[in-house]
Amino acid sequence: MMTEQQVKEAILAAGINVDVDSLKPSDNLSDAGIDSLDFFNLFLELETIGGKKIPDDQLDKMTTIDSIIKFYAE
Amino acid sequence: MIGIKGIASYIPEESLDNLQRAEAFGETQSFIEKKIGALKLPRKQALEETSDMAVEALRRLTESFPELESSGIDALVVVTQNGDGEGLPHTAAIVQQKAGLETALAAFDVSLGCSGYVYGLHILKGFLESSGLTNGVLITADPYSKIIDPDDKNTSLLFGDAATATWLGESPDWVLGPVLFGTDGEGQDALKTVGQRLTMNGRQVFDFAATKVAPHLRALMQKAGVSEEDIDAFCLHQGSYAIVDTISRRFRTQQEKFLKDLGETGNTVSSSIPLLLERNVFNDQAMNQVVISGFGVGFSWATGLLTRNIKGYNK
Repeated sequence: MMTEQQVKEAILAAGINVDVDSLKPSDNLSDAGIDSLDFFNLFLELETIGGKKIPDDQLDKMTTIDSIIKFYAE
Repeated sequence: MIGIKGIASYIPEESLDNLQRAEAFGETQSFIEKKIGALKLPRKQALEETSDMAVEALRRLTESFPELESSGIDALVVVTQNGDGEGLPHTAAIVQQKAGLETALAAFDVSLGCSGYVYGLHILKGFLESSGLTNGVLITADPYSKIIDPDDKNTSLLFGDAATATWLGESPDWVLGPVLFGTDGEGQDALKTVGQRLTMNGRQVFDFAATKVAPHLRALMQKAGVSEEDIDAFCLHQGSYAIVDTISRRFRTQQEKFLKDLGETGNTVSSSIPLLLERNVFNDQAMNQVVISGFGVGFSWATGLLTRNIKGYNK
């Protein structure tokens, strides 16, 4: 399980310069300004928190906080 | 005691403008400026060979340090994985001929990428000391433009061509301190050539660097008996701004010590650390103790300490 708050904390821990307070779970993270290298950092933080590596073929699905929560719920 | 006496470099004049190319790859100029860091990517001439770049770096070294006479060079090591022609014979032999060096010269290549400078320093130091030789030159010359697919977004915005030459000899300005090495062949597919074209799994390379390097820096400092506060600069391989930033975030109070200088060069593979040292460290008298760390293809990594050879620092 991963919560919305944990994903937001991972975004901050990854050093990504976005306003997490205004991010909604359904917002597209790329549209919010998270670029491809930010995602690499974010995935590392998420893997530390969630204890599960996101496979390369699942990366394209990690577009929103909701999709990340869903991945870690499965 | 063998150590570093000087560094010189050669950066080709021609270059690609990454800011102009950003849009074609679907990236913003901000992404280039803040994450990649490489505004320009130097490119060798089409007919310019790896050995030509090496010879030019060597020429600039002997020009900058006239006390190093070409006839006095005992050993020449070329760090490259993109040597002349198809890689046989070794590029170091071709450099000997083109530079007009004595034939009483030990010359060989070292096949390593971004970790190659740290390895090369210690290989050459050990070689000179065990052979009773005095002067060695370590060349880095690995022009990735030979193998980059210009349409590959993963690699085309990153790598620049450059060569450096480092003089190792007695009574050095900088002493080579403790060093640590690492290898993990599990990463062999992350960065490799397929059909003479470079392919890169960016995420795999990023994860490797982001997770391996910071602990290696700490292990090196522990081995050397120094703290991060004692270090004047961390000279990491300049893979991209993003990777240097990611590693430096693991050292919250020391982040400003992690040098970043790849705007005019891009990722120059094994040349990035000697370029940093030449341009940002050796002429700064406030710099007395620096950590160097190279990491990349293989995976291979190496971290070492350099200490200015002055009383109080040369332990």
